[in-house]
Amino acid sequence: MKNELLTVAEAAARIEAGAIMSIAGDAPLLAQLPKGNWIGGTSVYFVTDAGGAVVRDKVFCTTFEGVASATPAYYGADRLKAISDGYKRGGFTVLLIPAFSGAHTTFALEAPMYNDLFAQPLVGWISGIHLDDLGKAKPMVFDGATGTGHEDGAVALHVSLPEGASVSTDIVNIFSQGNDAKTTFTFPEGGFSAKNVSVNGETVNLAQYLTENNIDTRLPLVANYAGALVNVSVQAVDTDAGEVAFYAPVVPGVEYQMASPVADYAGTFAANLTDAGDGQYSCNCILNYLYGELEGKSTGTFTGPVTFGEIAYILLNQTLVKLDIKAA
Amino acid sequence: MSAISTTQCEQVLLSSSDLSKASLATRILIGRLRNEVKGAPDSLGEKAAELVKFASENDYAANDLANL
Repeated sequence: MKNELLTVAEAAARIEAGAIMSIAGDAPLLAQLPKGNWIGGTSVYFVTDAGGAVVRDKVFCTTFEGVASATPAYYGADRLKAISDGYKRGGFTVLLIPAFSGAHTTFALEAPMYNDLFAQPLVGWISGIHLDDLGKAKPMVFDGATGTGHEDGAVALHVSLPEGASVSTDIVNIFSQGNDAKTTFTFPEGGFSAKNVSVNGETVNLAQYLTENNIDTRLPLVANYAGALVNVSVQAVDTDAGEVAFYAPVVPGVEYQMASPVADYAGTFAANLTDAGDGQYSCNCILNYLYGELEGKSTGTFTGPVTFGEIAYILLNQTLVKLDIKAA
Repeated sequence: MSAISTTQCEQVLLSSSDLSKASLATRILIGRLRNEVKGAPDSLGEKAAELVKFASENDYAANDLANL
């Protein structure tokens, strides 16, 4: 697997040579690429070999080498539940969804219940835009099979592997539960926003609670899924409306804790990653990029797009997702 | 590999142990099922059956559960 920043001409030549690719970049660049075995999503933030950077004149290309074949496909939000129909036995799927779209919401809420979701690794990310363009531009995804860009729905690259090759995926979450282990948050209802929450069994207004307790909302709520720490990040606290918005849905009944503070995001990522990132697919979260001030800072050898949400079977926040292919 | 029994799966779902050595998929699924059982204890049999089916259809999951 090769990760590199390429010019549009270089990426186009790679596509025309038959390469199987996942590509991230600014929309006008992705729109120039020829049809082929690729999918793309908009992002102008990247983790590069030299550190975090905003790049608008090149596209970040992951070229999957040593794989058998791939099929790019577009799924409308209403068809996402059938994502596993495209799975290739023993292979993997990369899924890209535009931020703020109907598909983003649908996937976040419904993916945990999808049929055969876990039958093979499913990784990907939520496409974004430059933060200066919020309200002016929309995140997009591109289906290389048709060369078409979409502001809603999702694109998937279903990849098959040769006999004997294997693939694995995992996450790196630099946050842990336990900033205040005695304080747990349990939501009566799921969704991208909440008014009330049970804090240690007492129902309170979450917006009021966060404000009155001066809680640093750059830190996510963290749930422990049998050893997998899953974050939900706070998007906004509206004390007038008494409502808190999240970047991923909270799940009713799940016990969350506020994450412990992280002093050095870049150093903590580097310490939690091996030096094997050169040959792996990965993405990291825009909130880590912003809150950790990663621009110009290296997080090790894992490079890739900085995204508005990460996918490792389900929607994640403030998490690095990685995928590794082992040759036969 | 021997099949995972419903009883074993029920024990996994009633436990709160970290399964840090299991695959990410197994951890996420068991985390969801544990939460559902916690919210509706009567659903234990149904959720254990879902876990048995998951393990029977995915070799990596059967391996995860066999090595808990």
